[in-house]
Amino acid sequence: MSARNEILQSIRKGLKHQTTNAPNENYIDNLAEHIIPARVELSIAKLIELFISKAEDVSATLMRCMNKDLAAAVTLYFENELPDKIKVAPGLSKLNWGDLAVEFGTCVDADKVSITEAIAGVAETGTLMCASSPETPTLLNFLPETSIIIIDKMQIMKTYEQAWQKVSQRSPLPRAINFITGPSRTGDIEQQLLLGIHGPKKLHIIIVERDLHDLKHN
Amino acid sequence: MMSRPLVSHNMKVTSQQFKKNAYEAIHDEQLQAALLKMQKGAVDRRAQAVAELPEFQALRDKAKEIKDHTLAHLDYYLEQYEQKVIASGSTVHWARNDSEAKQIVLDICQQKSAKMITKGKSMLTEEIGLNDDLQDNGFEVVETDLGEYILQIRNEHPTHIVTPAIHVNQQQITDDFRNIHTQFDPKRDLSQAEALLNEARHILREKYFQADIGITGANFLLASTGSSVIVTNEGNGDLTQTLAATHIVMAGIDKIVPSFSDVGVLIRLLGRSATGQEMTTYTTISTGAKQENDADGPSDYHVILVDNGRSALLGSQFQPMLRCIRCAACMNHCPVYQAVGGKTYGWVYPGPMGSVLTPAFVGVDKAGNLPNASTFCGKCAEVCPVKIPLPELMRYHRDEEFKQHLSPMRARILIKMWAWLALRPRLYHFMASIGIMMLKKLAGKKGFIRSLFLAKAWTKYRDFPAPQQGTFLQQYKKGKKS
Amino acid sequence: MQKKPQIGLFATCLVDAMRPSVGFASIKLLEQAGCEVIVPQLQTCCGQPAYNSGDKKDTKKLAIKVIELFSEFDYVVVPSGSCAGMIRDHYPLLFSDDPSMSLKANQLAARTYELASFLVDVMHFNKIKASYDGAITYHDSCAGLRELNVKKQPRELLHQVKQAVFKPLKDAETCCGFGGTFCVKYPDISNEMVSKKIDCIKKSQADTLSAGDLGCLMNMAGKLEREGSDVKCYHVAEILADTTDDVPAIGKP
Repeated sequence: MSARNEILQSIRKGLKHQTTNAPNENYIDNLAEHIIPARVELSIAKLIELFISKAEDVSATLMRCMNKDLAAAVTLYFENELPDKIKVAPGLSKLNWGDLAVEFGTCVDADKVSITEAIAGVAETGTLMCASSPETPTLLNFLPETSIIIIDKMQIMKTYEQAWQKVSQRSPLPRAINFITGPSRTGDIEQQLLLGIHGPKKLHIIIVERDLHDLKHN
Repeated sequence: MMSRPLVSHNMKVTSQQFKKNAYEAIHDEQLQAALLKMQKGAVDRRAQAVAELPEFQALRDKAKEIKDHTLAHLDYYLEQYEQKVIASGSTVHWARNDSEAKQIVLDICQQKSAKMITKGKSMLTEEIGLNDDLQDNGFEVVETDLGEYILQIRNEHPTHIVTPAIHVNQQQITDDFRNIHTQFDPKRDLSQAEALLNEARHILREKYFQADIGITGANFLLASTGSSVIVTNEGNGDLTQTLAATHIVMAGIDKIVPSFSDVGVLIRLLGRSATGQEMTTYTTISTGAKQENDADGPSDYHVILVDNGRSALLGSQFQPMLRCIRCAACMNHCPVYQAVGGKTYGWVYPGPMGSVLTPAFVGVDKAGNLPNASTFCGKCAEVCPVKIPLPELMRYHRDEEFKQHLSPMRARILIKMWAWLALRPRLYHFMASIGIMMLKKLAGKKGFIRSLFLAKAWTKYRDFPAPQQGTFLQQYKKGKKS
Repeated sequence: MQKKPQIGLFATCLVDAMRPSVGFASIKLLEQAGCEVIVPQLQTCCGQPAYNSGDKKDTKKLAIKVIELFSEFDYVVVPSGSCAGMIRDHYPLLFSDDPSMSLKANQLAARTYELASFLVDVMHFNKIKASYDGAITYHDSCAGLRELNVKKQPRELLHQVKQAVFKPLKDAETCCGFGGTFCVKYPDISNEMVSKKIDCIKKSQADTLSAGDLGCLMNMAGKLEREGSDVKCYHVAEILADTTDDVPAIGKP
């Protein structure tokens, strides 16, 4: 008997049924949350405040700007010490990057700074949800020392499950869906909190007012 | 293609030396300092996180419900998961035991002509002894989680399932880096933790790019989409699985979760229970290999579903143990773990969850010490996010031990004598009053006995309080009322 | 006139053998609370030592004896969280596959209480007449705390004791390392645990330690004594019943 069948048989033996026992309840991909924490039951304005406060708690930095001022916001973040090169997600290539030294594509090891966009934010814990795609390659979130993630203000959701709904209907599902909460960290050296062990040391979030999609298609 | 014969290791069980291990651990000053720090950090941080989430207890109830439901339909969800993985263009392998699991990995490595393998943290791979076997078969294996990397260069095993190198201090890490990373200037300044971090980042970054195969575990396997879910702070799991050409996911069959909203419940509990974090830095849901036009990602994705004793627990009194989400809250809060640390337990899984799993997996004859070295204080069950009744499960192991005459003969005889006597009240009371008289004599005018030859274990460290005059029932019978 | 609640006192084997004053203090308190107390003479042990050693057979035999002996009372009160927990939580589990015994076990369980919890939760007793000149700190014995939710009740009662000052105990809910046979099977670990507990007791600056379980108290008193400490250990019943002058503290001359 194959390992697969033997394992399934062992499971059925333990559960005392002869064939696969489908659940009675309708347990299909349940999009609704089981329990919504009360902390996210807020007005949109307060929800964004919560998102910002939670993200700051985990050492992310944040800015808010109008979509037309995106390049200026990034410039401001670097406080006149502009990087030689910024790797930007191909999906953001139509935006106006001003004088910034941008290049579009996925990251390589040499890239020190990246900019990509999140599909949704999660106010509950200041989390961003990014997904792999030709427009937003995964490595932009993991390789550089400084990761800048753009999020449309109107895409800041209450919970992970609500954010998930923004991506779960895609077929096929993106290869990697990343919920990102702050920069990379470790406590493995005598439990000291240290940032940037493998992934970014810095995570900068820019909350953009107005739908980025409109912009990209103009 | 003929597969190479497997040279098989498993992590050796040393639970039989539990008492000796415990003694050494208690007298290991450095370990005790590390444990104290861990205890303070983990316990206080979890308490704070729980206080800030009023829904925490409701989430625990829900999590237990989700896990119980999943286990009750485990075959259904495994089949659903498998279908979805295959539909995404990837391969599912099934392994009954550790040897099969390792052979599958070996076969894939050979197929891919791999030379170098990077790994995300996976307790399952410890359980089956994967690294040693791969290395013996000529592959270079590099652990990428910083704690696991530190252990790898020290040739040690994890002593905690979430923070594996909890027992290693900064000086030891510094010395190890200096000794092992000979490619750098030996006089470089490693006095700051930041310097160690940067060095590890640099070294491991190279490895990610060199790796032919990236192996990760899975915190959850999402049945509705055929995805693997990993939860890390470092991002090492992500780089492991994204940069290598082949991603292998190895997970126990108990990791299945039906839907994303179920994952939502569990991730709200996991970080808080483990480290007091509301959310770990990276929670990644991976489905298959890179898609057409994806600029990055592995070209091939394999899942190895491992049984290795898990299905045998279904339908048994130990079934609740399969709810475990490997958060380590139990060991963080266990006064025994806090006293002796993880190495004492003698195998892969320490603390209360280890005291249930280890005898279940390797036999109560080898690991009987673990469920016995507990006061059943119940703190573990109090903090378990999926409400596993850990002390109850430990007691089942004691029941088995007793049934199989595996407990020490002396203890068995004493218990049976006690019970025999207690079933005969008049004789019991008579013997008790004599015993009390003798103890009272021994105590003399002092209120205590310094050394009691029948209870050396007690009097080694404590005095034995003297009894009062006569037993309660004796005095009550004589007419004393208060 | 309403009949007084009939209480069967389950003294526990430790109280019976090692410290009868706890039993008498319990009777005094229950009578103050308006109960009539009966002490069945044929009681011995609740069976916990056998139960925790994996000897279910003998445990059941002992449990049956206890169930029979205590079947006629309105309530069964126990000056011990672990023994009360044994009867309340574990007896029903022991007989889960024996319907007739299961019924009896459940009936007994429903009527069984730890002492402090009984006085507060059932009798709503708040007329403690004791006085105690000292600084008391209180340890939460594990079974009472986690199986029976005994936490507020002893403190509520102790706060009624005149003159007494209350000092909080750091890590009050952490196990003291007794654990029945654990302390003699794994003495090194038990010692680590009780040593940590003693550190907390010393830090509390109390001169008196109290708890609801004699096993825990003997363990902690024995360690305190070995370390040359002057801290006095009393069972909570003794302080509440104002009998601390009648007997030396645990382990003291």
